[in-house]
Amino acid sequence: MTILADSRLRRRWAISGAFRWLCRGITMFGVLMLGVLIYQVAEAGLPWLDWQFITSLPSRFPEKAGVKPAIWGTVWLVALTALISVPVGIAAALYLEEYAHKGRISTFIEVNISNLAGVPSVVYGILGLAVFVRWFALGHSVLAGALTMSLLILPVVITSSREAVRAVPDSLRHAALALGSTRWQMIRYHVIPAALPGILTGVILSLSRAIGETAPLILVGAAVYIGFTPDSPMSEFAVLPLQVYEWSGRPQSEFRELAAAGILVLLVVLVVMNASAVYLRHRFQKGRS
Amino acid sequence: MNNLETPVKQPVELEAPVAPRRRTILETRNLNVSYGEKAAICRVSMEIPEKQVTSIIGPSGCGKSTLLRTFNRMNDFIPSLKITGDVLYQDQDLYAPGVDPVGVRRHIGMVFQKPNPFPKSIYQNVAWGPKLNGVAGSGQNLDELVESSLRRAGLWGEVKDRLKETGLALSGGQQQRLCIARALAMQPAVLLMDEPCSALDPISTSRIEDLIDELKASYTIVIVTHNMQQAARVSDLTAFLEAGTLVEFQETEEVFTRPRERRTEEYVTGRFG
Repeated sequence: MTILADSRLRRRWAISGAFRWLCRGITMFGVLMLGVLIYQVAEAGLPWLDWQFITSLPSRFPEKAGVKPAIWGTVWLVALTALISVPVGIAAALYLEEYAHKGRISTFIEVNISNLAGVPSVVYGILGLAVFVRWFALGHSVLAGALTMSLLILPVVITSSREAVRAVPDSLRHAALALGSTRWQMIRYHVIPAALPGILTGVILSLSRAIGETAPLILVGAAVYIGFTPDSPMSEFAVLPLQVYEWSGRPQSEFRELAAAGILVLLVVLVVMNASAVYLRHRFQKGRS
Repeated sequence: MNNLETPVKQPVELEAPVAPRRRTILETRNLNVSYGEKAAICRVSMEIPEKQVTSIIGPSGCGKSTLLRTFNRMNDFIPSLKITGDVLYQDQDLYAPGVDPVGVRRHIGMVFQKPNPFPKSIYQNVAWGPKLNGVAGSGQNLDELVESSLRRAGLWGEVKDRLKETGLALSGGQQQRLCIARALAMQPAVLLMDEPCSALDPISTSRIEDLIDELKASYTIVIVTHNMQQAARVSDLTAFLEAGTLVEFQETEEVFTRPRERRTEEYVTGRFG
């Protein structure tokens, strides 16, 4: 036994090493699962994935069928959802963090927002159907869908935006206020720019979730078979996950392969969205650190 | 310095014990500040003369920063804070109804303990305040104001070729001088400094101290410091605060060589605090 290699020390190193391998193994398991999933989907879908598939309307004949309306429907839905939920989410986060007095009411709001984040998405579908489709008489439009989706993701957008706003150091606020700025000027020129990268991260994660949601849209009345692309917020629409769902339920095996191809398209849209988010975040962070 | 002699005790006075030689610019009368139930400042009355450096010293938690922040209403954001008594700036009560705290802060600038430049370019750091308040308009006027502010803060020579670079790339001492330049760009009458050197190395500290000496020709400076040598070096007047009460306030030399109060003496000679 020497100081350089006693058995206790060796045991501690062994545990340390084992823990690292455990973590690595668990991470690898996730990656492996994703790999298997992508492989299976790609094997079935890749042969069907061509320009014709992307630019065609749905059809009874698998070789003619395409996802053009679903792609555009998804793009419309996500864009409108972002337009609605981002300003509302940021405004709510700023109000709760910068203006509201910490008290019973703000705690009440806080608890409710957290609870809303856990409500099943179908429930939002029912709400959307009752409020937007019927009461506001928006019909089965993209707008009704986007409003429903906004409700669905707002709790997460608000919570993550609040975290981002809270992470802005007080020293920055004090600096701005001590120079004779109003609260709004401080928020506009310093808090929002500093919090923006964090806010964007939350928004993108939420929108990625919205892109894959199916259940609320079924209730709100998104179409599964539609012969045109949306041209206004009041258009009827189809979305990719719903199209995939519809195809995968058909008896012919070709359609199940088409569903796989649809999943691939959905994944590509998702990756493009996330990549642009990373790019945006990087741009906003430039010159800031 | 005649430390060998025992300080001559003088009769205790209840009122602020100094008669300033110059015009008073800031004054507190019977000021009380409390956070909820906890009193932070008790019955402080003091007169701060114009174009002098006044330092506030005292042990941690004695209310130095709280007192300093009442002068530009930076305490307003603490909901439980209660203030009674008067704080006068050029004979106007800063806490009178109708006084806009935003306006107060344009006249009374502040430099903080930790350098806190905006994550923007050096130029924008200095230009933001004036732009916001329409002090200098834009273009050439603004350029000149930025240059003169940086010159006064003794930073111009070091940054003139990289005004577009981020202020966060500067060293700690440079950042603090940038913060001073930023405050000067608002052309304030008073500059409040809340332990401006406590996060800096000795060389940067001495540069800031030289700067304070230069600035007092044009500005009134109130500086909170926990460094007694610093108070002795830079200030004309020194206030010793303990547990929220003003123990002693008079000329710096007197405070450090012939304090009137026993508690002051014990503090400045390092027997407590």
